[in-house]
Amino acid sequence: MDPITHQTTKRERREQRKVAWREERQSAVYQQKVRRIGLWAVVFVVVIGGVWLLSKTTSNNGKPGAVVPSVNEITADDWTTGNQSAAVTLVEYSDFQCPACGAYYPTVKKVTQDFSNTVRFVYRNYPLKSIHPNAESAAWAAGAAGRQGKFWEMHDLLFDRQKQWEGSLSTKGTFHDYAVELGLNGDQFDKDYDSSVVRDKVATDVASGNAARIAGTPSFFLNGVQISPAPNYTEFSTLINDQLNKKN
Amino acid sequence: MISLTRKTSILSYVVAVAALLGFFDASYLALKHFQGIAPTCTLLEGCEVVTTSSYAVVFGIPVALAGGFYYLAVLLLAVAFIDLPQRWKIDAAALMVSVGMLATVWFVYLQIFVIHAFCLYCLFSALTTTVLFALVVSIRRIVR
Repeated sequence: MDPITHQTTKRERREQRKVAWREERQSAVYQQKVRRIGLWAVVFVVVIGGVWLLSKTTSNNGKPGAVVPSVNEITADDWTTGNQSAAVTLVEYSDFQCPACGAYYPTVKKVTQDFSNTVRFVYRNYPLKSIHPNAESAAWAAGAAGRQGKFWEMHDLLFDRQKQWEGSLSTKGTFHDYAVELGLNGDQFDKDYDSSVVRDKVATDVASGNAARIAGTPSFFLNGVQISPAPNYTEFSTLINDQLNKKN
Repeated sequence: MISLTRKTSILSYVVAVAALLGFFDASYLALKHFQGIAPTCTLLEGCEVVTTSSYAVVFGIPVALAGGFYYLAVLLLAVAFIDLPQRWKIDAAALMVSVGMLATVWFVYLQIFVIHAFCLYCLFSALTTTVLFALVVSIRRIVR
């Protein structure tokens, strides 16, 4: 017998190992093991990842490092109307898509008109994105209109036509049309709508609302103190007049 | 260890998915609870009313947090059962969802007759627990 034929070469041994490894990989036990590890890994990733995503979406605290104005600290970036040097300030945290805010809107509008000489009004965004998918883009639209000096005109239009855009899947075009209707430059509006200036302002508003621990929209603060008037003119005017009398 | 029929196996996966949905729902409410922000729109939705009512905390534990742990436990049991089907797992799950079902009946009663407001997230949780209860009980009957 030729001894050489019985000696396995290095190469052959390597081949054998490869085959054995391949067999093990195809064995039922091994596959079962992979399936089990895979199952638990998927569960682990989905649970941890899901909670992480949830905590990210629920804490919309704006940009880190951004200055968050408190309720009674009105900045130059705020959207205001009425008498800028008034002793009484009414701050509203609102959501353009929220039906309650829409219900308050006619009353608040009449109040801002009637008290425009004695009260300063501030509108801050608090879009409840989880239940109102178009609220944030509406806030951007109002901000973009504001860059061309027509924040309040857009504010009114958005509330007047809430029912028309609330269910829309592509609001940008709709809001662009509103801007043009208001006599704004459409291209500039689109640019501002996408700009970080407009978006950061909305995020800052939300952060300030969170800091004020508001419970929902709309929330009103009269000289820094939360008030909860029903959406009727008398309740608002009584509260404001009380405050005006105190200041005089 | 028992062997599962195709039907039982599918039902177990559905239990896991339903428990996962319930877990996310409860986690969302628990996160909101600890941030002190109610997900609301004051006139038309009752979330604020319900989630900030005195019934939202029992023995100092927020209901949403307890619900989160409950769904997580059911989820882990369901996955463990899919992984390695053993009767004690389905028995434990059955016990848990029975307690969950009783709690659900109580919470729905509170919303209808006491608080007079509904919270969408809470109703969704009532739905997932009802589904879980029905599924776990039928799986248990099959593997008996």
